[in-house]
Amino acid sequence: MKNTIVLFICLHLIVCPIAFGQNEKTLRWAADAEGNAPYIFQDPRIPTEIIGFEVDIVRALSEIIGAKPVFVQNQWDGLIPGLYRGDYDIAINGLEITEDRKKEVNFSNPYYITYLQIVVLRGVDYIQSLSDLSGRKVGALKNSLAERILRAKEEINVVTYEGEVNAFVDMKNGRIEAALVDAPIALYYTATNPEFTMVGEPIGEISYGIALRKEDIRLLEKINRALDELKRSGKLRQILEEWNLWNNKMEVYLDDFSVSKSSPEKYRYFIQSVSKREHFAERIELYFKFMPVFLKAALITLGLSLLSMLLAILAGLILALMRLYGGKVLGFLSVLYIEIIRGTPLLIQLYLIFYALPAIGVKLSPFLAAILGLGFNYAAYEAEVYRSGFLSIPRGQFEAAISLGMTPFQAIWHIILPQTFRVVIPPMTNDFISLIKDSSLVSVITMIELTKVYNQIASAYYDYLGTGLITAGLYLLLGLPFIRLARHFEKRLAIETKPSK
Amino acid sequence: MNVILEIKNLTRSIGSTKILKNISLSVQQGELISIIGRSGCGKTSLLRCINCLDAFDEGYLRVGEIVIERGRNCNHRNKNNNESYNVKAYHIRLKVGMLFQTLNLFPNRTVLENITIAPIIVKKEPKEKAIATALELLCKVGLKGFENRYPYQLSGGQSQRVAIARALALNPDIMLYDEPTSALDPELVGEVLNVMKDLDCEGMTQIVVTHAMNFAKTASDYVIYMEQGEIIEMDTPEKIFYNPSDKRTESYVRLFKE
Repeated sequence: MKNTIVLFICLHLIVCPIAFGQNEKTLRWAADAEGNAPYIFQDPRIPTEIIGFEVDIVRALSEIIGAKPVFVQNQWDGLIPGLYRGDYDIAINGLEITEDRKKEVNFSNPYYITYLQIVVLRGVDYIQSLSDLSGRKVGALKNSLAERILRAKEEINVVTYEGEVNAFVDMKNGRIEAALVDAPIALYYTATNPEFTMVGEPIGEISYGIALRKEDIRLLEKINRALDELKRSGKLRQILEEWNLWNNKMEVYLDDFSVSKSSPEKYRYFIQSVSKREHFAERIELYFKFMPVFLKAALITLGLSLLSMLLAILAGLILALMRLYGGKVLGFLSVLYIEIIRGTPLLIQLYLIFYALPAIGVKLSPFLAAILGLGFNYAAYEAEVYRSGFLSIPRGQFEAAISLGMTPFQAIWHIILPQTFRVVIPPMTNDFISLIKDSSLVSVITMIELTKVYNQIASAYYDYLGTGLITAGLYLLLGLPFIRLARHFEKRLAIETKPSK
Repeated sequence: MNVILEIKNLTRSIGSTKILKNISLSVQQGELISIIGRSGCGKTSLLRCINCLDAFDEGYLRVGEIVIERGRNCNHRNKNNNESYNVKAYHIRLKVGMLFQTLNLFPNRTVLENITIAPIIVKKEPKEKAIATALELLCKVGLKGFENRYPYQLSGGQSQRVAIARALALNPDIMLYDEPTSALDPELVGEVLNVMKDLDCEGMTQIVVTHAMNFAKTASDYVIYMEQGEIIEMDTPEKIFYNPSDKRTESYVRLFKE
């Protein structure tokens, strides 16, 4: 019965995203809400809402095209692979139009042109330009224009980061002296963190474009026409001005040198919402606001972990039985599986399941891919736990069962297995706790679970400590009931074998 | 009388070592046979071959109606024959009960469950019937009222008596015992041997590998002396212990004379 329910959920999860794709009236767009303001991020006052200047642009575009925008969360690194999985039709998230990327995807015309900006700690007056960075440690985003510019100058010691905020935190801690980042990031971060400041002239030029699959020529045309419409009507300028992002490069690009028409209200809204909360009570109140989002994510993590562990326990048992009693061929296959799975990173396995399998026609929903990835990975470890459990049962038990007329299968099933279970409960509980935490890896295949939500909220508020403690606490709470449950089982089973004293 | 167990020219090797050489033996229904001999002489191996826990290489084994023949001239190496060996071995095990030297009751099951599990699973007996039989057998081995205990709550002697009841529950034609009392404290040995004597009175065919010479002397119909994988002598206890015809037997039994 339980299995039927699980199967049903799984089927449901496979079918649903495909059903979505068939709908002509939707525009499925992807971004990583873990990115910073002002691109796409969580509304600081309403954590369930996603806002940003790119959100506004997508809405405006959809309106012109006449489609309903549907947001799909994906890890920034996975935005382009996800296009080809067919999870969404466009990706927009500060994707710089580069020659390398153009080989993989089509880009729309630029919707925003910006530049790079040096950011230093306030009071560092010896850095005013690119040439002042010689011989210093400078941070940049990995694989960005900033990194390429800095690398071109041999005397600069470049440190690369996954996210800009990490670079700023490192600068505050004295590990780097400056950071070269996209201007919008610099603008928003320095405005909310007065200990940092922007210095020097704009450097380079970055054009952001919307990425589409190579084959979607018609959609590309539609998007470009809609973009032109946004430019002509002044809507694009209005959006950028509201976010305080209108700049010289855009003036040239749109050939529009007129005076400002809109006030930067969305920029102000963000600055006011995020600026350091002086009162402890206010901060606590904010954390309470996050709670529903955190709890929902914790439930996803829990469900994911439970289903994965169930799979691992079943598949692990089969692997162990194959290895111990399956004869040469099955035994060899089992060993091969265990060694390959244990010997390769879970992260790579998840990528393969999610991004490589669709190439051979197996397209799994993120939830199912996550459960299969985690479950079959842990199955290799559980198989070894079972094996040591089996081997700890004295040989005489098996022989006694055989000489009582049982077949080898009956002996294993009725006599050996029940005794094995009690032996494997403690190490399996251990593995389950570990699995709960490893489940955070599935954010790379677009699952929004606890760690992902933590990253999103932390980067939206520049608050890694408080939200980090909440997240850590939630993981602890998720694991505790299972530790207690395991102890309870152990005690109950132990009563049957050891004298109570 | 009816010969229930027959062995002819049975041989078993492990690697290049022959651990059973040319064993021939026939046992009639209701007999109690003791096998004595030094450690490593092949006593236990012989029992394990009779119960098909270990496969012999060559020879002839018959238990009741079931015959297993193996060896060079029997063309038994092909696969089909192997399968039929497994099936026959299974049926022999159903007719033969075995008791081991180590205490191996199932630790996670009660005394009653230990006894009923095989009848329920193997013989598909209804649970009520299996329980009724088990309670009767517990009475027989003198452990009435122990049915709900777990193995850890039993002494060694009690454990072996439950193990006998467990084997009897399958209604075997022959009972084999592999040093059933050697793991027990001396004061507990008697209670196990008494159960075996009772079974003998009821006409059960029993083969006992034992170091309990007094038991072999007083309770057996025949005693077998084994050395280096061979049966040296098989005769009545009086002959083996007081008038052995082989010197090797004599030098062994002399060890227990004082």
